[in-house]
Amino acid sequence: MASSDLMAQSLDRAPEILIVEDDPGVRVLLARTLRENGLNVTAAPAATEMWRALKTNQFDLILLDIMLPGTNGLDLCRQIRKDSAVPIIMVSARGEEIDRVLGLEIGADDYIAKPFSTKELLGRVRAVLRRTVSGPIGAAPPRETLQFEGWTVDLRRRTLQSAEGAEVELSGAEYDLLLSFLDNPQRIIGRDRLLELSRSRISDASDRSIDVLVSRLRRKLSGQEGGEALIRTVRGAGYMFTAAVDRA
Amino acid sequence: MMHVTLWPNGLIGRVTAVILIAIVLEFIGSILLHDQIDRYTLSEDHARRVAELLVVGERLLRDAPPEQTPTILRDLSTQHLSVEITPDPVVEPARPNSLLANMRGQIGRWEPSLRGKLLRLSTAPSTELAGRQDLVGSMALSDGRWLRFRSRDVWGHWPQLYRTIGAATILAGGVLLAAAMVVHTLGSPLRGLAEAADRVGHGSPVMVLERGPRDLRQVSRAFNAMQARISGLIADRTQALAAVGHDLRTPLTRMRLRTGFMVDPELREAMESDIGEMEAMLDSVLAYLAGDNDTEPQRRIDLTALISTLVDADADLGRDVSYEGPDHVLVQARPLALKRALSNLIENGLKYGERVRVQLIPDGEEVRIVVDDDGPGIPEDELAHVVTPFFRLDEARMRNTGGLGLGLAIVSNAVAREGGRLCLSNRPEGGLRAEVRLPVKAPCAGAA
Repeated sequence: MASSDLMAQSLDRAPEILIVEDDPGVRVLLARTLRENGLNVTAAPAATEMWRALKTNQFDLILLDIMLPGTNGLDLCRQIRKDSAVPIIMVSARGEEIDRVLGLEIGADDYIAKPFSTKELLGRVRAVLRRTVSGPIGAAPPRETLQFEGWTVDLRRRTLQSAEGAEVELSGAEYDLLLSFLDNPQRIIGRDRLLELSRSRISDASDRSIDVLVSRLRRKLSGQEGGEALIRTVRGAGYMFTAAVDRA
Repeated sequence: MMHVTLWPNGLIGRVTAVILIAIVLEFIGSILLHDQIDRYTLSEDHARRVAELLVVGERLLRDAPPEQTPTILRDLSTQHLSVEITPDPVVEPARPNSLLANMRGQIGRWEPSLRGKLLRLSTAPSTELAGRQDLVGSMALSDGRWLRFRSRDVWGHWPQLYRTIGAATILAGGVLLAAAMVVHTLGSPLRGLAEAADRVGHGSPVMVLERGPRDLRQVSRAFNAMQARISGLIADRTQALAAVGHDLRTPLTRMRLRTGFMVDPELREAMESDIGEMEAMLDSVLAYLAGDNDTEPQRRIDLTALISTLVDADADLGRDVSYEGPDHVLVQARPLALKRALSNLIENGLKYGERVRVQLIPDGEEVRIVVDDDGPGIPEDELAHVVTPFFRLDEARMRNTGGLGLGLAIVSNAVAREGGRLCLSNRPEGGLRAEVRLPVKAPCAGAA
């Protein structure tokens, strides 16, 4: 599978994944799915086994179930975060957005709701691995918010707030695209680069789909003075985010 | 023909009406009674006066010489009663009259010596007081002459009656006012109870203050206990259903992951679509159950961005969904609940039609979200029912479109919690129009 190449390309070894899941069936199936896609998997049924595994092994990612016997996955996540920045994807059977927001707020890197498909699981795992591998390994997101022209991006909750204080809903791909721009402000970014950065979210990735995505983002960022000009099209080259970004 | 109902609807109104009727009846009754008593006593006074005059007059005239007659007559006359001698009974025979007969009886009773005398009684219009009646009469004297008398204003007691009526009216009015106020006070716990009962089932339990008379306190207590039991029952069921819903997600996850190992792509796709359907059903049940217990806070959100995200997601899947409206519309709402509601409306439109058009129209203090589809619409007589939980149109069942019939119920509840309302109608050009009206500013923090 192409995905296994992708995951292995940034590391010189297969990524080590720790699964913390109390349901034996799900645990076994998860392990098998990830192994078949080129990942090394350790499985733990509960908190005790998880701590033991964390002591003996170095992991690139933890898949952490929220509802575990005895302990709450959210509490475990908080405890892990005290002395480790290992990427964590929370897994919840409650499927409630509140869980998602809470999980991200206490430092999880992503959230996936049961029942998820193999494709969705691999997509999320891949995205988190790429984000953390390409960045400095083991570093927690260094900042909480980004600001530009009165707009605020909350990196924990993954929300965008306008200058009027209104929450502006973004799709996952739009959010990723915005972050790509905010990471490279006032610089020309080619379509190819944007495509690469947003590949995990866009199923049929093409130049046209990037253009569509940019125009949608532009519309959501409009309505304020200079709003239209926040993302400028550079003919023949790509796009440029024109505002200065304040990293708070 | 207009049918006017004077009978009030409220309990307090009715009790007041009953008191009013009672007072009016008592009032009329006592006036009639007083009138009768007055009449009787007054006519008896007259009768006695007349009887005494006749007896004394007859004796004096019989014993005195004829030349003294004018003096005697003058002496006998008073302001109210005059006498004269006439050769004939100048009294016109009166129609038989119970009052006159009564008077005659009273005269005879008071002075039995007059019983054998020839006495004619009648009434005549008063000479001094317009509209009043004088009692006139003649009695035969032993020498063949007639003693004629006139007693003024025989039935005249009305001024007194009027005074009595005036005083009684004021008294009755006062009593009625006081009674109405007392009834109003008594009824206020009952009104509180009625208002509370009216709100039951539209959110969290409404506890009633236990106050007022003992029976009403009992009713309030029973009402509160009943509410506690009902909400307990509902909470238990909700919890049980939610638990089942959550627990089913784990086996569904296993199935999903297992499909990843299936070799036959056709079979895998079919399995995945089945699992997707089951998941959608679970989600709708859980969303419906979460409803009022939703802890999501209201936020200021850009409604356009929220709708665009939904519309774009469908467009990316190749569906014909479009948005028309301003680039930014800000409202105060719960974004997740509202997103689910609007998503339900759009998905509903796509389920029954091919094309969905979403319009956002700011309208004064409100904002209208209009979702039009080009499907078959809903039969007019079913429009009111489709927001009922678990209600499904027959066609939907035949088409085997899945779902539990909770979609519109979730929309209706979510919109109501934002202080808005959902309105469904069939478009004249065909298709269904679902219109959500939201207040731009939330009236208050809401039930949650």
